[in-house]
Amino acid sequence: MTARELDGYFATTGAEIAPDFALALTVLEFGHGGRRFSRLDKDAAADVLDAWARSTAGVRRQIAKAVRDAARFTWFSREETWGAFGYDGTWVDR
Amino acid sequence: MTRTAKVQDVVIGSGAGGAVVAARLAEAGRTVLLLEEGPRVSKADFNQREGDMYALLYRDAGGQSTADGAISVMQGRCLGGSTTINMGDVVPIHDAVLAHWRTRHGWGDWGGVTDRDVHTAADRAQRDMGAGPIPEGLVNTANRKLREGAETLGLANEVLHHNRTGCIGSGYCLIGCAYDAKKGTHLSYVPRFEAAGGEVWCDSRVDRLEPGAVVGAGFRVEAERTFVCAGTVHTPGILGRSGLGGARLGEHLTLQPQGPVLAVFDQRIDLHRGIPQSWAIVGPLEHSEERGLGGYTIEGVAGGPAMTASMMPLPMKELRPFLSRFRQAAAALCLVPDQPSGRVVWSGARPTIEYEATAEYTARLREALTTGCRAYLAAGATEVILPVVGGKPMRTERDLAAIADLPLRTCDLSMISAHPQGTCRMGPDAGSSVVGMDFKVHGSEDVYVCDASLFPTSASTHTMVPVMTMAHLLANQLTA
Repeated sequence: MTARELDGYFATTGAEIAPDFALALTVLEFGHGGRRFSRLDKDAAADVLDAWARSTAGVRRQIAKAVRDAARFTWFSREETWGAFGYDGTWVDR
Repeated sequence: MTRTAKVQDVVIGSGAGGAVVAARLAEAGRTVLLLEEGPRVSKADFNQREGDMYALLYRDAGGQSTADGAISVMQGRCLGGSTTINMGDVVPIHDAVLAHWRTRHGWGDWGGVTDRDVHTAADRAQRDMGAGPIPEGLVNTANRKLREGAETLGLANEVLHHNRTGCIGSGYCLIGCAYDAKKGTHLSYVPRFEAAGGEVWCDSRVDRLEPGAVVGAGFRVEAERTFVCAGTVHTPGILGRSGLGGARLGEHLTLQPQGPVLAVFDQRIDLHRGIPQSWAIVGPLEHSEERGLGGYTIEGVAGGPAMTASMMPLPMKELRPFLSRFRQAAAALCLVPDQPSGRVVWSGARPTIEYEATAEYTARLREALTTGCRAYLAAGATEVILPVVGGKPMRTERDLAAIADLPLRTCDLSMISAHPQGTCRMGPDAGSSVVGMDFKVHGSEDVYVCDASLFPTSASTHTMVPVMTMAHLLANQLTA
């Protein structure tokens, strides 16, 4: 899901933000000193993001935050994720 | 093809400043055009889905942030501006802040504007929006927990005032009220403006001002007077692209960043239902003529699942257990007024928001976060959580000692700014301010500014009414 949902999200943010986010993803993809980020399994990828969130390097913390925020926002905007934590959904049917 | 118009007054921005100015001028008989960059929206558009609504209603779909990515700077970009997506809090300018501006920022006698005039303008704004205290029956469980904790600890606390009528407690205030209960300017001043013959052009982003004209993508408006009310981030951009504003343009930014506290109870709370923000703990009042707004408040807050999840800097394996208790959670924001310590820089089509929290601010934030956690524990929370990288759930008073050791760098903590102010400071001296005491940009006879960018320091813990107050004072000046 996430790549498609993220594409959809950044299509709405205007031209200003998307290039910055693309750059952040590129740095993450190649910049953690191991295999490409996109080729890591789920747990290893989560560990990299967690390590970057705690990094002493400000740029790594910024990238981890940007990726985490955008991915979680788009993921939990989806109705099919709501039931897992009991969110009872919207009051209007649109 | 370029759309054109010729009017007496053109107003840029339909939020708390622009809509009020536009309505007052139109009602005084002027021909007025109101330009809004965002879309025309109404309750029929508000579907209560975060993914759709942040994209529709917010600047950068809610993604606007400081240059270091640390603080989300939330601003509306739709008819009504931020008044369409705010919490509806009504807090006038404190007298100590007025005194601070008069004695420390050269406002002096303000051309004869008295404190009484300011109070009258604030009262008028509140009356126009039907504002008043939130009724006891509309205070939800999450906010009652905050109150209970404050009273257990003997902390000062109070009900907030708001601009809702007929609220049914759906809880979607931040993404547009589908019931027309919250009276943002799209429901108060804009209808008045249109009833008085004013015209609104939405989806109209202004590029620059030229002598006697406003120019944007696909339109050109000729006007005798221009009122720039595009907000703290974008007003300096418009002025700068127009060769206006001088050396201080964009400076003296305050963001008043807010840090969240979360608590989990062993009962259903449903923080996402009811008015999200109705009760506040009032920290030590330090408002003074010397410093202006000080102290802190801790106010209830709520968001939907997407916003809540994105605000939690926990690894996924720790986030999932928290979200499984989403309906048992309560949350608050620590609102800590800051001194100007940032600036907005425009180069090309986009702003760079530079901000560095001061050590004094961080110390008060730490005190506020600690107090918030302590209050929730006193109210019976089984654990409290600060959404800070490396933060651990705290279950007892003893655990709170760990807060003293948290670095609290803004990038570690999920911080938001809903009240950016400054950047076009108002003052009598063109060397140290951007706008004169008559609201005109220094050196200009026909360009006015009226939004939160005017404030020399933080005007209030919530800026809607202070901005409306300034707009009424400007309108009084022009229609006298």
